[in-house]
Amino acid sequence: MLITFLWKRVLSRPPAAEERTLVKGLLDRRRTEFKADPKAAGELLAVGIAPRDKTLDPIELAAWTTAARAVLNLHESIARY
Amino acid sequence: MHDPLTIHRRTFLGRSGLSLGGAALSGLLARDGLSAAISQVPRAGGASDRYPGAVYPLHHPPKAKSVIFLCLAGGPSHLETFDFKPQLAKLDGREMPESVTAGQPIAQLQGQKLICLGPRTSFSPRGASGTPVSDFFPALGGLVDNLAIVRSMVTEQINHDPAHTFMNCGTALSGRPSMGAWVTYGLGSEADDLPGFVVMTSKMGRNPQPIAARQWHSGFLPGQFQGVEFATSGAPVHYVRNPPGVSTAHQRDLIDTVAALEHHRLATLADPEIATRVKQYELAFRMQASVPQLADLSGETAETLALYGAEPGKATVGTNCLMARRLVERGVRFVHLYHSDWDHHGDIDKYMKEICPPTDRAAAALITDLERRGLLDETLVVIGGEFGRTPMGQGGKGAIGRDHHIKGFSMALAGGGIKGGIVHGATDDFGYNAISDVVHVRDLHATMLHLLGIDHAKFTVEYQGLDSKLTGVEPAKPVKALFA
Repeated sequence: MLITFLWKRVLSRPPAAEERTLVKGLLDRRRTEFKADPKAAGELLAVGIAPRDKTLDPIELAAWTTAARAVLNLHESIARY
Repeated sequence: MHDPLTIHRRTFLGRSGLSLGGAALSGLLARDGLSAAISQVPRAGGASDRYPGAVYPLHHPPKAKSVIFLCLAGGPSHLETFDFKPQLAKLDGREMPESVTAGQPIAQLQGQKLICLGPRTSFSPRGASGTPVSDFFPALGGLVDNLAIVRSMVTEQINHDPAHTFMNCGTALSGRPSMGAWVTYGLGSEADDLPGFVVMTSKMGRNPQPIAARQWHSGFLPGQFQGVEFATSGAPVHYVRNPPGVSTAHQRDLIDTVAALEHHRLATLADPEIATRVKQYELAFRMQASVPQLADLSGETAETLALYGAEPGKATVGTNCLMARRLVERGVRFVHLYHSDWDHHGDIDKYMKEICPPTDRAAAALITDLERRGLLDETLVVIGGEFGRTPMGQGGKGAIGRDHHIKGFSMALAGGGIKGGIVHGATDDFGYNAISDVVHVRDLHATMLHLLGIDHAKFTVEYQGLDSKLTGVEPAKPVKALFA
């Protein structure tokens, strides 16, 4: 659901099944990692000037930050066709 | 966007399971090195798949493996560096004969009285060859037996930006590949963790013209061959470190995921620039380790730093020349340095006295250091600007200088198969027109390519229905007299 939102927001199209699987995998690996190392999640979330929504779970937010980094850096996101 | 031929070729190669460098396909691919380049997309995990170069095998055995082009941007005066003109000294203050200048392209002196300006410094015979070199360049003069000095360069563009474009791309039209991109496309790079074509800039003196990034563009070649600009002050590459909280393994996973997503997209779109982006991310990941090592000059001896006049962390010509050596040492194919500003319309005495000493020291250090490390034989060093300066003085408001000049100027070459201790070509007594053994920019390109093992006439890329070359369609030839 959120992955579809991410794709539509950035690329104006829904993700293909394979794309969804790839990003889901990245998310799950980061969730596990940040759960084991919450300090790293905190450091990543301290980057940037936009205020962070403190009501959100920092582990989830850090994992989704990584997913967003992936999608925002796709050629399709950056290049104008 | 959708090229059915690309799909077809890719599918064919994929199914046949042949490696792209394979001899069986060389006939097919010789015509299409471009698709060889773009089909090589790194796979997840960063498996090495070094691009062998579009010219594979080379047309003939190479003398040089890499190029360092030290561009003295702004147009250095040949008359105060490498082209000794005693006759011009005698004509100082006299009117330039109209027979010389009539109908000639003139930049800022247009419509003004043209008065000869003698050399503003002395020259001394240097080295075993006794070649006169300006006393502004004492260190380079000391290395004159390593240098081939070309005194008969000509170009076709009289203003800086188009003249740089002409010097780099062989045409004044922007949008075509720079020579560094051509060379890297043709030969590939031996550096797995640095770009094959690196650009660094330094400046001093009077207010320098900016050097546009399109001067190192890859034009119609894949974007992976574009020059990458490194900064000398601060971090060489911005944002090369991971964000806080992101480990190397985490970043690796991210790059792999992006690459997998891009491969999925590439299968639908077959856009070669997607492949370029994946390669650049892969390279950027490797640069996270290689760039800090590259920029760390603490391993250089005090003697070496002093030789170049290098100041770690400062974007000087000395630091950049040292970085150029470190780059070619690591397998980078083409290093293009721009040192501004040689555009001495006014007060040439003052500005030459400022800019020549550090440039002379750095350029001479580069040749000396390459030589003592056994790298000079395989590194072609080219020193010169986009054009020269007029034998006529340019007065105006301030102290005297010289205007842009394209009909005869000098360049110095060393290393990489170049014969040292020679002077090639000559200008007339005024230092105005190149009159013997004229070397056009296209000839310089053909010479450079020849030394690298490439026949410029065979080095083509099909673009907009034409077999495009760095040397263009007009006659060009390697200058054999310069070869060792």
